[in-house]
Amino acid sequence: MSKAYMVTEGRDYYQEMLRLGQDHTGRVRASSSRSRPRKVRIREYKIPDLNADPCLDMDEEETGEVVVGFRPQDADYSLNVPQLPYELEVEILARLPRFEYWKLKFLNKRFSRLLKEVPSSLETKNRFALGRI
Amino acid sequence: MSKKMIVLKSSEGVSFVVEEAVARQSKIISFLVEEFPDRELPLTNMTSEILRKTIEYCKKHVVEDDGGGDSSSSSSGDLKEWDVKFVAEIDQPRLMDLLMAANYLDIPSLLDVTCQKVADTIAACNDEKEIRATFNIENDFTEEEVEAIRMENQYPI
Repeated sequence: MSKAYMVTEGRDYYQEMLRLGQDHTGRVRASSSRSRPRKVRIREYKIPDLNADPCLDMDEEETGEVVVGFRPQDADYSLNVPQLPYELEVEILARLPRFEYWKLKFLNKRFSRLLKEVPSSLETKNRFALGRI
Repeated sequence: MSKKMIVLKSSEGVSFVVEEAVARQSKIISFLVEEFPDRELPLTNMTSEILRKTIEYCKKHVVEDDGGGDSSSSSSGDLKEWDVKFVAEIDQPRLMDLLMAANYLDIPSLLDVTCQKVADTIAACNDEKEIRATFNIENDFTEEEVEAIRMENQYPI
């Protein structure tokens, strides 16, 4: 068996999934300083647990905010929009014209902070696209 | 020759039998299919509805990819049109779930089209209040903080 793919916690698995995404596609999903690579302990060879809660609490470490992972929505859809992980917010901002950013500055603290961080992330993305990384 | 089928199971326990080529639009499923052939793949953090939409997208794209040939450029244009229509029909909360599903399953084209739709929705909003209402985002700024940001971003006269 060539590959072993086992993680013990949902969080580690999710981060591994994100890294897998980068490896397979060659895309840079985000240049997040928060997405630090983690060592994955390999114990046995079995099917990955896709049920594992992919809760990203990366923000919790540094900002005290809890980022809700991808969870199925319950009955009341209209009142329960999931909060996106940092990487996806960067992906969205990358597709938003710069002159629209002002709207997000006053949206909430999280986005205000994100806008301060995002230019460097986008720069890394662009450099990657140009083959300079 | 019969096509190989893959079974994907949603959070409600609903099984979806899809052609392998369709399921392989997801890089994660493609990886899992190679590593664990003939196994049902449980996706219990995806509702049946979102999984159905994801499969619908993958089916459309795999059909177009197979179509190929001389009409590839026009079919690519049709496909883009179809993508726009596909995300336009989805309401905001479900679009966010679909976006996260695309990310989770690693389907770059679906991730691209959903992210673009969210970005377009933000761009279409007139101000931050409309964005908050659209995405159900809470305003956690105090008036002093808003004023401080305004001062920070003031153009020098």
